[in-house]
Amino acid sequence: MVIRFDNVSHIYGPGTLFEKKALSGINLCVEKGDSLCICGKTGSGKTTLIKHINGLLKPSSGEVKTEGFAGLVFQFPEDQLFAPTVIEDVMFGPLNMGKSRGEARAAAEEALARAGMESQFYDRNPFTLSGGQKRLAALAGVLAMKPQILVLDEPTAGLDFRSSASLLKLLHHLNSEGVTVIAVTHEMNLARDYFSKLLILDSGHAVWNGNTADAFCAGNRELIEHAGLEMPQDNEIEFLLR
Amino acid sequence: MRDVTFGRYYPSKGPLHELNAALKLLFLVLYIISLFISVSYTGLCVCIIFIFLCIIVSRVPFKSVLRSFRSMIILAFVSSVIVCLTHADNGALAAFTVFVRLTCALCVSALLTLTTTPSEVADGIQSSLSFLRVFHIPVQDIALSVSITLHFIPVLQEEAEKIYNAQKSRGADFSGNLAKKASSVVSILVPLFASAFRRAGELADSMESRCYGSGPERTRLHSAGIHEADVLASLLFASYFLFTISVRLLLW
Amino acid sequence: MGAVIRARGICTSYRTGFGLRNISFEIEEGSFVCITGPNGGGKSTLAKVLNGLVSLTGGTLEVCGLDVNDENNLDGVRRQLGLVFQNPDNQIVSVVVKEDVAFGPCNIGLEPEEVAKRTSEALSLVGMSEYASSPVTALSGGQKQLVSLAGILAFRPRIMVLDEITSMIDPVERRKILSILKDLVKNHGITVLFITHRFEECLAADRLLYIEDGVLVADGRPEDVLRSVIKASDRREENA
Repeated sequence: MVIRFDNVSHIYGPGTLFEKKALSGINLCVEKGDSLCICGKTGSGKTTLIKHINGLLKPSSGEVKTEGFAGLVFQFPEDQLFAPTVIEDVMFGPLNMGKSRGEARAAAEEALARAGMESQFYDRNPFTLSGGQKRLAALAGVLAMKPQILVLDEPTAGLDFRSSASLLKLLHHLNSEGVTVIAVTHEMNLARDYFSKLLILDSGHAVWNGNTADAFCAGNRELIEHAGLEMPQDNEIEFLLR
Repeated sequence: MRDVTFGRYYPSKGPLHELNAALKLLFLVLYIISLFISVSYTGLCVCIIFIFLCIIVSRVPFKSVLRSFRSMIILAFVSSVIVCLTHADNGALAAFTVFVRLTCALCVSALLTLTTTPSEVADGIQSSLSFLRVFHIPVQDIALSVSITLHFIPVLQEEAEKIYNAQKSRGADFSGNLAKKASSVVSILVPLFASAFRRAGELADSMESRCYGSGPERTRLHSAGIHEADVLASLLFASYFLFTISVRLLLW
Repeated sequence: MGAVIRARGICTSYRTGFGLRNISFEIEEGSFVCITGPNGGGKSTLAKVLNGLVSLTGGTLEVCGLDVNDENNLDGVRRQLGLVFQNPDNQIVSVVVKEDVAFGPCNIGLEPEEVAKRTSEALSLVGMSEYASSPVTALSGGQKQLVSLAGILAFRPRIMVLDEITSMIDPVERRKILSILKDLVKNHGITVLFITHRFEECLAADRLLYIEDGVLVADGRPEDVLRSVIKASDRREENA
């Protein structure tokens, strides 16, 4: 077991007009090597939940246990690029972990190779990259820290179909090497096609917590639509893509 | 970082929210003047009581008002200590005066932004400063910039929080040695500025495509008239202002 | 009905290099057209070209019979062709919904009564009337985008160009926006150009343009365009 949530609740701004209960009574067990998708509409508590995984937020009540390093990739991670060159940016994480410059450089090169970015990108200014490349560079910035758990918030938002397909392929590959992959999304097709476990959040409550394969039966339609989501769509074009 | 609420509108729909914004701006200026008129314990207490009453009437919780400028209270405290130490005679009163003036001025400004939407503030500035147009000062543009600035404070605050979390997740260290701290701060500032520039560009495109600055004089949606409540508030405020003056004249 | 947009061989040199290269097309009035293609391929540049935010280096472009390259026409073009962008937070200038919708009409100097009338008309077209006096911060992403749409509708435009307006939005709200757009096309005769990455949105259109590396690669029925594009992409991958 790498992640365990015991009856976790989180309240923002307790005692003010802006008080909001973002999570209530979440129980969650994630095993090593799992691929978990967390679905829910905006404001359902998805992002709040993942911030508990690496300790950015502490639960208002309940307990969170995590084993190993959890790397978090936020929504539109390209917004966090800051260094003058791609390689420097990717080295930021390993250096913060106390690695020497040489080790950090090696980790960064490996992570960039993983993300499919060759050496000609190392000395490029990250602000001159295209949208898809920036996202990969930001992802490499987290991969360079060799996370045992990789958590991504809306990894494919705003990407074209080819870029998102190659990103998902990379995630699949990492998962098959034993990295626990957790993604937050409201794209149900993504959940169905790439993740074996599914957690559906509705106003901070877990309304589905189990296998993805069992989630999309006709009997769950109401539950899924109530959560502001949709059943996965089947159309010919989507089929062609897979 | 979530606690920085200065400039954030608090929609509790109290009577202060309904008042004409230009009038509230005028009250703000007059109130600050009244703070400087008052030099005795009595006079300053009147100012404190008044601002307390205003907060109660506004239905904005004390906590939110205080929170919006709590970091600056320290500044007020430090300056009053310095004043107390440097004044030979009657240092206590001097310190009290400085402290009350600073905190009450902050308090009333916070109350204005908490009860008035930025665009109302902008409209208020525009109508109270419109006489400056005679001197070819672009009052409208200034007012709109103020409104946009106030609108973007919470947006950029959220952005800063997101970047902060992202870099913290990459091990950025905000408490370590100076070199580490500096690189961590850079890792937040650079993306934040980049994002502010990008947002500004997009905003400019959006405004331009909505014909901003294209031709005739801009009109306004609501000509914020003067209502009964505004008259009542003016009377109440005038009596407060006269009272502080009389305290000054009678009690010194 | 005639064409409301006529582009002949348009080219741009955009500072970041995502320029358009010799693009030609015509858009029929009252049609619902989607535009798709890879990130950085020039879709957003095209949107900005259409209302004169980015100027042409070659070719001719007519919107509602007006030459977009002529600076004197820009105001007229922008009153008839509205642009909505991806991030709602970066295009809302006001804190209260109706004030933001009124921003455009105020800019063209309409009387306050007319501004108020158009504002409430635009808000009712997108089903947001009840939020007229709400603070924008209280709205969801989808609702903010509806406010942005209303901000354009208040001009009573003939054409709306929407640049990835659903990419940050939940599925249910996305579906709502799509149905509102269809209603605007069908019942109000507005021409909609919708830039999107989402196949389900592309498939809802009458016609699909595919732009890659600044070139109009394919143009036709959405299914046909997507199928040919995916095939080409698969072939490229096999070769690589």
